[in-house]
Formats: sequence, structure tokens, C-alpha cells
Amino acid sequence: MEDLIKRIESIFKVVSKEKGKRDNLWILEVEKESLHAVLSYLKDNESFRHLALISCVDWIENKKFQLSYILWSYQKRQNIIVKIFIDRDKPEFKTVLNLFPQAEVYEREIRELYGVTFEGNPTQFEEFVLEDWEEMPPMRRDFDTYKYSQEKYGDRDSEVQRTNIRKIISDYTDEWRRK
Amino acid sequence: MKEKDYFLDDKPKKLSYSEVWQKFFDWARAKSLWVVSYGTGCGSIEIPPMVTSRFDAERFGVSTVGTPRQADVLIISGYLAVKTLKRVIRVYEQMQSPKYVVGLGACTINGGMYFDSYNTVNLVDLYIPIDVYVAGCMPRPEAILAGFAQLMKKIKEGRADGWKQYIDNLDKYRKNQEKVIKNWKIPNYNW
Amino acid sequence: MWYKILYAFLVTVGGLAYGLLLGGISRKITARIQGRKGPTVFQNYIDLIKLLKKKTAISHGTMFFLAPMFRLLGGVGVLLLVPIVYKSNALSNFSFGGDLIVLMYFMVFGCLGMALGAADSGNPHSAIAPTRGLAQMAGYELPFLVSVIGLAIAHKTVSISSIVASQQGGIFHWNLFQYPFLSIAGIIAMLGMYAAYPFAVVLAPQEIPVGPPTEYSSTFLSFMFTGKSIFGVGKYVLFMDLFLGGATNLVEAFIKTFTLFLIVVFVTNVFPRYRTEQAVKFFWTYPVVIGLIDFIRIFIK
Repeated sequence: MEDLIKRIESIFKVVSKEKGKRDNLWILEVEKESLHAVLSYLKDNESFRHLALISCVDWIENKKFQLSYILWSYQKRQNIIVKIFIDRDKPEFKTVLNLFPQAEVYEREIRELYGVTFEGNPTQFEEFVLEDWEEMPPMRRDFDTYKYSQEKYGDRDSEVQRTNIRKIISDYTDEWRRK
Repeated sequence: MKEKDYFLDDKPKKLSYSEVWQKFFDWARAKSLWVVSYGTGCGSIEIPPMVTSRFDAERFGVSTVGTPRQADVLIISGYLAVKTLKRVIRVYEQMQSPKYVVGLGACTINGGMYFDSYNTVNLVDLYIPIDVYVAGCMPRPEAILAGFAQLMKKIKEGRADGWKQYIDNLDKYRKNQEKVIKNWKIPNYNW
Repeated sequence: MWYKILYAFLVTVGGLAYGLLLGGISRKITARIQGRKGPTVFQNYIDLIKLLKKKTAISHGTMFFLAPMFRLLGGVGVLLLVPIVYKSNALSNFSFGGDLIVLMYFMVFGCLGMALGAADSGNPHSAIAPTRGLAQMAGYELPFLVSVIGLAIAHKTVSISSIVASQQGGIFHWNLFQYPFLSIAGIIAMLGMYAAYPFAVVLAPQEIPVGPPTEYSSTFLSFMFTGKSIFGVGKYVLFMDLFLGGATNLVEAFIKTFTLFLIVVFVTNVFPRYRTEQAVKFFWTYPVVIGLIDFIRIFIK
């Protein structure tokens, strides 16, 4: 798969590349203006015709959203992930609906859960999972979900509820990883 | 053998005529419970093994029916998202009284694994009266059958009156429900 | 004269009790075939008692209320018109000369009432099952008519008591052995009437919630239960009178109806289900042809 990466590097400007945890997975980072060109090159010339997922990561320290496009090739049985960074304060991007029709649903999900709007997607403002949601998009990291759950749904006043289970578990796994 | 084994210290009780009649009907209700086949959450994968050949639930009289109009028991199996809660309330109000609710799993008790989720309800008891909780994540079919045995015991003693509490405190339940559900389109009770 | 009313009442109640017991036995046999223990044999009684005491708060129109009554009346009518025990004062009920034709009318009546009631309820699912049921009834009525009319012509009478009378005198005088092909056609039609499994598309519990009684609950459902049980017992007694030689005492009646019941239960548990058009096609070809063989024999004689 390395020759594929060399071919892509010779045509487009690749910001960073990284090999995944298995042999048939590579992760490329490109500039956001050249994403459509990269995707259509991979789809037409290199047989990566299946878009498996569009995923979004919230980098709140760098003030950026990362969008990852996961592609799969049936012929060569290889995965490639193309990721771009967009601005967190004005999260907008263009849709890839013209290349892959299933992107319509993935972008609807990202619009509901992260707040990224995609220009050119006709159904993106419909509800995906949440009904009548009026707060901040809930998967962003500055949305305090524990506080929201306590205020809206209440809890039983018990010893178990008052301990912060997630902090205890994450402290334990951090310590275990450090060893 | 102690001498105490031969004698009884309690006084004789008398039951009035309507109490005997009520006990008879409660016995009949406990022996034939019909469950709505509605799988609300992840626990509904334990319901088909409970009803089929290995852990047979039909020997206790428990069988599934297709419509809430003919059912006695609603099983809330697992977490309840707010979207599901609205539909569950409508199903619960379509059932004819007397009706009972069984809550499976830790998520119905205090939120369970999803206690800090923005979309799932923590205490189901605020919105629908629950008679029996079955602990576990998910409880095995034998545990659910033990829960049904507890429900049958409660019905025979006459203590399973969740539906009466719903009728008495309808305002409180409605206030809790409207706090969580925004688009409230249910016209009136038991339509 | 007044004691005839008392006997009719006793027969109705006894028929209901026997029908519910047969339902429980059928569930138990089905469960044992599937390798599990089933409910007790008295489970249907407990279901009925529980249903009587549920509150009903829905109303959907006049026909909705009347339809369970139709079903119950169809059932009671069938049970009271067949002579259960031949030549008996108590258990001959209201049978008279010519009751075969009236009986065939009553049997359609029950199903029709249910169809009308289900169509009037607000639920779209409860309209699918009666349409299928009526289509299937058009199927099984044909072999049933072939066998009944064949018997009527062969014995030159339209009264069930006379048909029973001409079957007395030993086991080989039964219609089962004298006119075997008519009996086969009749028994296959009987399977259709009970919605036994090759022809169970009416109930189809996986496809439509429970079939015609979808919107009913509590007291209405209990009427339907009773109607179904009584109707079932009435049909068993009718087929016993037509094909198995009637009964001269009550024990013989129980044994013969139980045999017919076992045939239905064993066939139900073994077969998968036909679609409606396949069932109708089956009913109109094989049993009719088999029954017509005996027709030819009767006409030659």
C-alpha cells in the first residue's frame, strides 16, 4: 500500500501520513480545500468506491473539528482514512453527496451531534436521533452531560450516585497505562 | 419438638364477602399474565429465550399478546430514551386496568450505565409506576422468571396497585412527564 | 316443556366447560411436542376469569358491541341444534327434521358477525384477518357442502337424527366406513373450520396481532373466548353425528369427540402454513374430487 501513498503524495499536498495498526490501513491528512479532489481521485482511479463512515472529533484545545472520511476498497481490500481540520468557531464545510450518496445521512448525524453544517445537503436539518433538542449539540466537549442529566432527570440520593464513577475508572486506567 | 410447634398464637381472622371475591380474582390475575410484545431497550433480547422452549414461561401462564389492549404486563427492558418514553406512556395508557409494569436492569432503577447521558431517563418511577424491579444488566431469563414470581406474589397479596396510584396522582405524573417531553400531544387518559 | 330449557342451559354450560378443557389440553399437547412443559389443563378457565374483571373503556360503535354477541349466538345455536346423545330426552336439545340446513346457516353466521365487528373497530389490523377468514371460508365450505349433501342424498333425509339412526348397528355401519371418501372430504373441511395449521392464515399470530379480536379487550374478549369454545364443541358433536355414528350415551360422546379433537391437534402441530390463495386452491381441488368419487357411487346405486 505504500506505493499508493507515494502516488497520492506526488499529485496532492499531503500534510501528514501515518500507518494504522493493521497492514491495510493508512491515515492521511490533507488540506480542506483539496478534499473533494482527493476523494474523487481515490474513488475513480484507485478503486476506493465505498465510503464506510464520516466521523468527527472535537479538538477543543486547538479549536478545531477534525472530519475523517473512511474509505474501503473491495478490490484490494484496503482501508484509507482521509482527515481534514476545520475551524471550530465557524464549523462549515461542503458536502460530498455528489460522490457518495450515503454521505447525506452521515452528515445529518454530524450536524445534529456536533453542529457542523454542510453546504449542499438538502436534508441536514431534519432530526436524526434526538427529538425536540434545543440545547448545544451534545457531543461537543464543553457540554456537561452529567450536570444536564442531573438537572433534568434527577437521581436517587444514594451513596453510589454521589461518587463520580467515571473519574474513578479513568484515573485507574490512566495509572494502569502508565505502568 | 418444642411445645410451641403445636400451638398457634395468632387470633382468627375474618374476611368479608367482597374480600374473598377480591382474593379469588387476584389469584386468577396472578395465574395468567399477558405480556405486551414491546421491546423497549436492550433487554428485549432476553424475552424470546424466556418464552420459548428452554426457559418456558408459558407453564406459569405468562404468554405474549400482540396488542396492548389485551395485555396485563408491560416490560420495560433497559434504558429509556426520551423518545421511547413518550411512546411507552401511550402504550401504558392504552392498556386496560388492572395493569402492572416490570422494570428490568439497572437503568430503570437509577440510570445504570447511562447515568450521565443527556438522552436517557434516570428514574423511570417518576413517569410510570413500576411494581417490580429486576436487577442485572441484563438479567438472565431465570432472573426474569423470578421477578415474575415476585410479581405474582404481590398480586395475590393485593399490594400491586401501581395502576391505582397512577389514577390517584395523575397530576404529579403529568407534571414530571411534561418536564421531560416537550411536544406533548396525548389528548386524555385511556383513549 | 320447561325442563327442555333447563337441559338447554345445562348443555350450554357443559359445552363451555368441555370446550375450555379441550383448549387447555391442546395447549399442553403442543407444549409437550415442542419439548417443554406447558400450562395446566385448566389454564383457559383462569384466562376467562381474569378477562371478566378487566375494565373496558373503549367504544367504537354499535357493531363493535354486537359482534361478540353474534359469535356467541352462532356457537350456542350450533350446540343446541345438534343431538348429542341419540334418543335421549335430555340431550337431544332442539333438533328437528331439517336441522342440517339450519346448521349450515348458523355456522356461517358466527364468522360473519366477527367479520362485521372487526371491520367496525378503529384498528386497521383487525380488518385484514376477517377478509382472509372469509376468503378461506369460501374455500372450505365447498368440500363441506359436498360431503354433507352427499350424505343427505345417500340417506335420503335432511335430519341429523335420522342420519344417526341409520348408522346404528355396529361399527361398520358408520359413515366413516360406508362412505369413506365423503368422510375424508368432511374431515379436511373440519380442519379448515378450526383454523388448524395448514390453513391457519386467519389467526397468523406473527403477522397480524392475534387476528380478528385485535381491538377487543376484557369482557368482549371473554365473550369471544366462550363463543369460540362452544362453537368448537358444537362442531365436534356435529361431525361425530355425521361420520362417527352418533352416540348412545354420554361417555361414548366424550370419547368420539375427543378422537376428532386429537386428529385436529396432531395435524396442527406438524404442518406449516398455507397462504390464503394456496389454501383455497387446495380446498377446491383435492377434497372435492375425493368427495365426488363417492357421489358417483351413490348415483350409480
